[in-house]
Formats: sequence, C-alpha cells, structure tokens
Amino acid sequence: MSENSIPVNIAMMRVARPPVTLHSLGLGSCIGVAIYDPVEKIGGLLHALLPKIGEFTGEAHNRAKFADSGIQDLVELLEAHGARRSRMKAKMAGGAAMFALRPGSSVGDIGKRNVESAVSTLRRLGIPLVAQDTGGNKGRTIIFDVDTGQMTIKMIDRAVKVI
Amino acid sequence: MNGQEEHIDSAKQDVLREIANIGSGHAATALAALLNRPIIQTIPDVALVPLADVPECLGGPEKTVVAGLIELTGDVSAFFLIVLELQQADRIIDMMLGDIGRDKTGEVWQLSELEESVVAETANILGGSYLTAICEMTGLCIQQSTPYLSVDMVGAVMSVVLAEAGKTGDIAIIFKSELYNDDERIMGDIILLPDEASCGKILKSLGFEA
Repeated sequence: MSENSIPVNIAMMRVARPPVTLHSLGLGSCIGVAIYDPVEKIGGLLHALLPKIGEFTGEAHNRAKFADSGIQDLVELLEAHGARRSRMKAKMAGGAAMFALRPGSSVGDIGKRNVESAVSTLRRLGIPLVAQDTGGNKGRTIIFDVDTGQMTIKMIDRAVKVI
Repeated sequence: MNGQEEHIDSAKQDVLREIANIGSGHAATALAALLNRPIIQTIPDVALVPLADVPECLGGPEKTVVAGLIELTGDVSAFFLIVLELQQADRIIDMMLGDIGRDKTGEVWQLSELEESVVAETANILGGSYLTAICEMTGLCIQQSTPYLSVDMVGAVMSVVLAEAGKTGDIAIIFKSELYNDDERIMGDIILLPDEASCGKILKSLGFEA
C-alpha cells in the first residue's frame, strides 16, 4: 500500500482528501462503507464489524464498530469537514460468509446482516448507494480513492475489481 | 507482543501453558498415529492477546492461510480457530495421502475434496486434543462441532470470530503448537476465542478469580 494510503482497521473510520486514499485489509464478514462528496472532494471510509448498535446495551460502545451508528457518524464527520449530504454518494464492499456455519449459528449470517443494516441506514439518511460488491464467501481488501470515488477490490485468486 | 500481556500474572500463564502442554501432547500422539511417523513435541508457547491484535500475530491481515473453525458449545460458548500456513497444509496432505500426494499443478492454491477432508480431520484432531486438555483441567463439559474450512486472508477469516467476540469478550488465547517431523514444524497455531462469560468461567474453573 502506498505511503499516501491510510489504513482503516476494524471499528475505525477515517476521512481524507485527495491525493490520499483509504484502505481496509482482509474484510470478511465486516463491511467497508465509503461515503464521499465528489464536488468538495472529500471522502471517508468506515470498517464496521456488527450491524446495529441498538442490539447492545450497557457499557459505552465504540460507535464505529457498528454499521448503523458508524455510517451516521461518518456522514456527520464529513459534513463537519464541508461535505454536503445532498451531494454524498456511497459505495460498499464486504459482508462475506467466510465459513459455511450450521444454520442457526449466532454468527452464520453476520455478513448479510451487516449489508442489510448499511443499506437501510444509507436509505434513511438519503445517501444513494451507487455501487457495491458484497456477500459471497471470500475475503476482500479494499482501497478507496477519494479523488475518483473509485473503490478497488482485491480478493485472493481473483482479478482485481473496481467499482 | 504488547502491554496487554504484562497484565497476565505468571500463575495464569502457567496454567495456560499446562493446558497447551497436555493438548499438544494429545495432538502429537494422535498425529503420529494418523501420519504414521514420529511427531516431536517441544514446549508450546501460549499468549493472551487482545482480539484486534490477532491478525498481526498470525502474519498480518492479508496473509493467505488455511483456517479451520470449530464451534464450542456446552458449558462455554467459544471458538477454536486453527490456522495453517499453506506449506504446512501441503506437507500434512503429502504425509497423509502418501503416494497420491498433493496436487500442486494448479496455479491457484486450492484443495480437492479429499485434501479438504484431510485438513479438516487434522484440525479436528488438534481441536479435540486441546479441548480434552481444557476439559480435564477445568472439569467443564464442552462439545465441539466439526471444523468449517476457509482458505483466505487472515483478517477475513478472523472477522467471523471477531463479530462473535465483539459482542462481549476482547481476548484470544493463542496456543503456538510446536509439533515437528524431521525438524519441520508441521502444525500451525490454535486459537481459543471465548466470549466474555466463557472466558471468566474457564479461568474460574482453573481456580482464578475472573
């Protein structure tokens, strides 16, 4: 990964402007959601582990761990940096089912639920999801280029994909 | 590895090492019988690691590995993740299948159905060996599922387990199995990932305040 790329690890989100890119390595059932404003040329990447913060009570949680609260916060953070919600677009990748776990396993469908939560949160916030590469049973490394709005997806033994 | 380990007192470390020792001993015996060759066991290492640091301990999130996931149920709710490097999996398959050997002609590293079942059985034995050790030491009653396999990036295979543990627990116990045949380390790492309640239960059963 180039020096101009910022890693976004699990339960993290980062905002950047060109020429900086943002990347997450080895996404499995996690979901990587990139939101950007192509006019203001600013974008952010969220690397969420779980679907919904509401499913957890008690101690204070890191909001970036969850797709719904993470997306909400990322949008607000982008707005604070001058982006406009009306211009924002989203792309996402991840949400794979890495192991064919038995039906009913508590984590068997975590990838799918992450995707669903991200989709519904983006819809609620009125941000169009313009491209996605989700599901399947393979891990993904993603690189988001804030300048072009392109998300590059690498999987083992597969051709590189750009969405 | 990092500061977290400093908080683990040496008594706990000793008990965990004893589990690793017994587990690894069981595994050596079983593998020697299965592979029909001597398996030498050296003192296994054990470490308690924060979940987020596990991919780094296994060679980085993008490293391709063969992973077997075993679900543990009963008195505890946890996972075993058994991680083999590709060459280790190659070697085990070669040893187990003898003349048939491992088909390495393809450009892409993948497993045939037969090879997959060899790796799954190996993961099963390793998991079972450590599980027996844990049950003996703790008196807990735990069942294991058959292993689910995935050949993929460390970060990706870990995510499932992190999602489960992300709800509560934050610590993984990594047993570095040290099983050798002809000076070659043939077995990978086995990682126990309990949820928070189960972690407490295991430590309590071993005589520690959780």
